[in-house]
Amino acid sequence: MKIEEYGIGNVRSHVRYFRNILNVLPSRYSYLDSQRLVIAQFALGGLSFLGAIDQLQNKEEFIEWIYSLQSPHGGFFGSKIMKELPSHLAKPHIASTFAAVQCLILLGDELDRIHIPELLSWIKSLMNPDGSFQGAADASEPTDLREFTYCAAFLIHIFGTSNFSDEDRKRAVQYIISCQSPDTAFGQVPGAEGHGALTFCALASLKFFGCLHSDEGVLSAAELKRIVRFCVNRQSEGIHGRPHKPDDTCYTFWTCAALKLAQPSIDISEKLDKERVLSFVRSCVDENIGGIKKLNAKNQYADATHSYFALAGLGVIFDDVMPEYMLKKDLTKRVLRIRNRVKESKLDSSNSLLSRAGNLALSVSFAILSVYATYLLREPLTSA
Amino acid sequence: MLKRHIKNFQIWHHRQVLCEWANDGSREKAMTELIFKQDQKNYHAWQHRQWVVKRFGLFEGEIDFARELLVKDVYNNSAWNHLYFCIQNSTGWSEEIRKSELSFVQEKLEVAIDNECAWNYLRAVQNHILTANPQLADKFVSKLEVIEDRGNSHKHLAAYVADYLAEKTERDSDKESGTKAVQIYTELSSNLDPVRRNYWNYLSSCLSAKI
Repeated sequence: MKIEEYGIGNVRSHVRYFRNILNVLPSRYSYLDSQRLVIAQFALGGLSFLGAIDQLQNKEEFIEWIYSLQSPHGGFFGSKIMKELPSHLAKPHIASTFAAVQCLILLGDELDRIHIPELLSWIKSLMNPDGSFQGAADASEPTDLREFTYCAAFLIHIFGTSNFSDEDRKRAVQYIISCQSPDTAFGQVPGAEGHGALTFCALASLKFFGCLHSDEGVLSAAELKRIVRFCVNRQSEGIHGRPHKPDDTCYTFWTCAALKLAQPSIDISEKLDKERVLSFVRSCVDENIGGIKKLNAKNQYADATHSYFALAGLGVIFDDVMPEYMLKKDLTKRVLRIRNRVKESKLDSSNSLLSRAGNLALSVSFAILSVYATYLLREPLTSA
Repeated sequence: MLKRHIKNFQIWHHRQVLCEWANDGSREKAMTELIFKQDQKNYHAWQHRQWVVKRFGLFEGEIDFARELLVKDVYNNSAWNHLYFCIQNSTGWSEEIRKSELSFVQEKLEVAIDNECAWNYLRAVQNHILTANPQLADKFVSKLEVIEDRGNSHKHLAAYVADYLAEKTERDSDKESGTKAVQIYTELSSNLDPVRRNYWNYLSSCLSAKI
């Protein structure tokens, strides 16, 4: 379904809204300066969902800016300020890294300038003994199933498991399961309240780790049905994240994506009232500046987060967005191509390593044989 | 600073680190209660409280605290979750405690039968096996039958009864229960919970196919 058919107000005003974000933001956003990459992801992602990313003329400039934030030791800083902190404070962050890779994919980059071995080694360094992940190597934030496990799982899925053993994967999966709350949704940490967004992060991470709907699946059919029930119950008119909380446009993505991941073969219209969700999102469109608000209230403005996730959610409902990737389906094909290329290049390099080793062995053997042959064929000391 | 930025992860974590360094969590419960005055369901404050309570073994009074909050607002999902968390991590779930919690939640359902949190809690206390407690389930079956004017507020009761009967059908190949369950799913779809009509129709067809 095309975005114009969703009927969410003036599409051009939403495009203008996201393009403005890429230029300059009001001062109330200054506290997010350290996470510019995340804001960029929301803006570029929003443009992608609106089918308008090709309107950008300066994609190369953006790509260069993103790569400028890559740490030579793996990962991406959230912004120039974060990179230029004193070296003991400057730390790349897993959410920024996720956002960087998302942005590069959205801008058509082939991810061929990512320092993959350093990236994977850095991600591994963020993993705690209990299977959770820190955001940065300074433990300045609590472990967070929401962002950090999901971001790590996404990155490992694309760039490979060289630093990530089967034991590591099992520990990560064990941690995810330990975050399941009594109402069968997932919380931020073990014991925490079940929450729509964290349920998405849990299911998407399990999928990336190969433990959802697979031979190694850790959630039974009955458990998945209960998760579906939790998600389905999250609709009032629009969608909310926890029982008896108000509807909020960002849960359009979190809950619908979780639903889709829990039962992929079933259409979302079999579970939710699509029209009511659309109607709620429509009511939250910011008629003044474009974009989408968190809720339908007079003192609310549109913001990047809710605009992005509302559109992503509609994309999931109308089967245009791959839930675990947060990307349109036509982009995920490219992601898989890149993933295969990364895999093959590791095979190639290990093959060429083998062939080089083989060549060396052959050369050495030949040299030894030559010497021996020369020895055998030499004139006897005592020739007649 | 925390009072001005109650949804900022880093500040909460910073506070947690300070508690660790000082090896002192004695002020934290009161601090979270200040935040609950602004926002009863603040996710970070609840998480912090749970961390403090577990880290410093401060479970005393927590179950009562959760119950008091449920008197003020029976729909407070965070308080229900906290209640479960405290029992899980202090007394544990003995048969006696399960029984008394089942009583507690039934009391709360008398206050508000449309309370999803209470129904979720009820299911959690039973480990999501509704046929484990047939006496309790049969009470709800009778209750649903008796209500003539069934409306939206009865949707969770109806869902519970239908799920129980569906579970019974699978377990005992009991066609009569299956038929009743299908009827209730259909009623949910057409009348009690039309927002989720497609979902209830789907469950109804899946079950019909099995009986």
